Amino acid sequence: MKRRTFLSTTAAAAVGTQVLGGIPLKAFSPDGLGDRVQAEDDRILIVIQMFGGNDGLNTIVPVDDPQYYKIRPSIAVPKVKAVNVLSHIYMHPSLDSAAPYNLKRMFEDGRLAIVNGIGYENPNLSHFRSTDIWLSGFNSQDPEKNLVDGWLGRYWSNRISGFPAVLPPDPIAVQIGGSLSMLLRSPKGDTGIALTDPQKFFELGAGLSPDMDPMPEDTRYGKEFNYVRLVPEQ
Amino acid sequence: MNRRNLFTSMVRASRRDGGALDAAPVVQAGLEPYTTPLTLDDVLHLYRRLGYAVSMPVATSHVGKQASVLVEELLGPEDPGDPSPDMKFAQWLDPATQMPVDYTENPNGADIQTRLAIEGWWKANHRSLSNWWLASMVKDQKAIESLTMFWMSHWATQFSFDETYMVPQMHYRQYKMLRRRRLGSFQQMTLDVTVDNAMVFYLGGTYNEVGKPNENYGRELLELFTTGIGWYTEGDVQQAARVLTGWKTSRFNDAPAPKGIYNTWFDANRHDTGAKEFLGVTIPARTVDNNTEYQVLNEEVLELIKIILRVRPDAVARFISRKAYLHFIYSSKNDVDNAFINDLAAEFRSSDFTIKPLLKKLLTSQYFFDPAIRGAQIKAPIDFVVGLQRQFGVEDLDPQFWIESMDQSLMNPPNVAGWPGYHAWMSTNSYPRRREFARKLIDAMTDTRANAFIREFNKYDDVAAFVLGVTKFLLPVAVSQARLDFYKNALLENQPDYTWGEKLQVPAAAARAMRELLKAIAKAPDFQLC
Repeated sequence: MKRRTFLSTTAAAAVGTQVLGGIPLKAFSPDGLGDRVQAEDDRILIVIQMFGGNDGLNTIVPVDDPQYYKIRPSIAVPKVKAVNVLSHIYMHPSLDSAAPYNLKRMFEDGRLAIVNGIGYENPNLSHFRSTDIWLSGFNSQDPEKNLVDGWLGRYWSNRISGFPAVLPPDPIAVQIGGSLSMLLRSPKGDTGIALTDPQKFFELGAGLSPDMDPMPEDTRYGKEFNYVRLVPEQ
Repeated sequence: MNRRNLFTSMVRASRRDGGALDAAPVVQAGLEPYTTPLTLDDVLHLYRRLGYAVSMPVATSHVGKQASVLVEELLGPEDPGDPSPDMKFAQWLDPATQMPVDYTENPNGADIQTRLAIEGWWKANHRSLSNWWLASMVKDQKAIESLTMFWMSHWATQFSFDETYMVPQMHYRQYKMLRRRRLGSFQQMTLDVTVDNAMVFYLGGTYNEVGKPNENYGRELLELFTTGIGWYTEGDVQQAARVLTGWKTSRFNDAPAPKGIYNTWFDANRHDTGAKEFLGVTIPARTVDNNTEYQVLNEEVLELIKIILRVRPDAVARFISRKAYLHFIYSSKNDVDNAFINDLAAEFRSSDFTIKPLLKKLLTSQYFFDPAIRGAQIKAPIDFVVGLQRQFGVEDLDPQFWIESMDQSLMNPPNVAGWPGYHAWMSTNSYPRRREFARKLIDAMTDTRANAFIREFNKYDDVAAFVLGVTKFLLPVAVSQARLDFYKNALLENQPDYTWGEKLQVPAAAARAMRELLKAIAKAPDFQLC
């Protein structure tokens, strides 16, 4: 699915897997956070990672910055075409589409927040390194440094006391489709589960525990044994 | 004693029996040749890492050989000839009619029915090609297919990407080319890939023209395929793209195909004839007269690759050695042994970037056979699905379905960097499907097959020896006596030892017991390791 299609479809409709068919959707549920979150509180955080680059300057347009028109002589959005929202923000006209509910109206209703202008010095032009930098939250230009865990994974792994020896009764995060994103990995282990079809997952989940305690971690074998062992426990 | 305590004691107690190998914390060895005659454990280890595991009779037949002899055998002849059976035109079937048909029509702009028919044909043929290749892997007596797979994952191209598809014939050609090049000159392989239709289409080379550069392949050639990141500037990427201008893909019958459909061709008018400055080396400008396919291929494209190998030899040698290390030794990127990589890279350089000496040195080294790396690899879905069929001697008819459900679709990695592998293989999504596949395959063993399988083990009528043999065959590292007892109880359904002899007299009973044993072993975490 194209980013464009995704934005126009999902702003208008409830996000469901049927809408997203085929593309990996990742959803996170902050459960088991002890006193920080009440058990009855069903608020969830949904993170949608769209791979590729968003042209931030042409999404929220800096119409009052002459520099913008100078560096983009041909593709800049003219002020008259930009959509003025709440007096000081200018959006790309397609964000005010004909759909019954769109990003502009969500913003006006206070249901959309935009954090723009996010970036880091000397952006890395490698597709893969850039993705890793965004998912890990580390701006490491040192190619020898392997970025292997994500900012959300580290956040949860530090928030949940006793992790990973003690796992919360419900998964901390649920990723729909694909193998688990680096975003959810932490140095202490994965902080989420990936599943495609919840029904299938719970059917197969029964009896998965291999009833084995962890191995000593002093060998590569022991380390990987424990990693695999933890997967069904999640 | 409850089950949990029982297992604690069995994991910790670890009184090993029968000479099976323990894992160890530290690799004691390096690249020096392993000259001890191969034990059964060694043979099984080599096959698990190099060639999708192996059946018990084949493994037994190699015991006592030198590693150098068996590795030479498995690497196979440099040119293995065409795959057998070859994927012939008649096998590219229309999914609707099951009749041979060749869609070369361009679906873009065609009416919707035609478009859907063509795309349906691609999808069906991608699936049949994948299943055909996976079946070839199961049947491979050497490690030809697994090494081809290693390179197909390196030079990754996708079946489905950017809302379009790779025509399966293009993937088949890429597969045959890499199969033929899997052991030879890395320089030649790089050249072949660079002007191969699949890659020229996949990374946009076909849109790369003078004045309208597309830097996609130029960048990945350096970043993902040869030096790795950090050994070139943005300027080098731009210059590489200029060198590579003019190569065109041929996919449909409405476009020129001077070399035939599914082959690339060179459009001289689209080639940038100006001088290029790449990694500090000048590739001179050319005149219209010498702007021919032959000359550009040799004096620019090949020269570009030669420059990479000449100016950045250490980077390339280390990058490819590291890739081999992650694949054959241990996939954890934070635990790569750089001293070993450097030794391996020196070998690769000294053979002028010939692949076979690199692989042979690695696979016959004491390092490779060291106890510290046994059982450290998480089986990729292909290892798991192909390997179990080989080990159990049971065929599955739709392996592509299974590896896909475990997050690995053949010839369709998530992006040009290939599959991330390692822990990404093991998730709450894929693990249940692995369990399901193992169960399905075990249930598919007929009574006849199960009884034959039992008799493939030495001293199978001695229940303790038999259980030990099966665990050694299916698990990478020796298990504790307590676990062996647990598995014996699974086999005997908690009956005394002498009942094994009785079961062996009744094929249905022996087969049922055998399946119970395999299912119990298949639940263990180390069943996912190799």
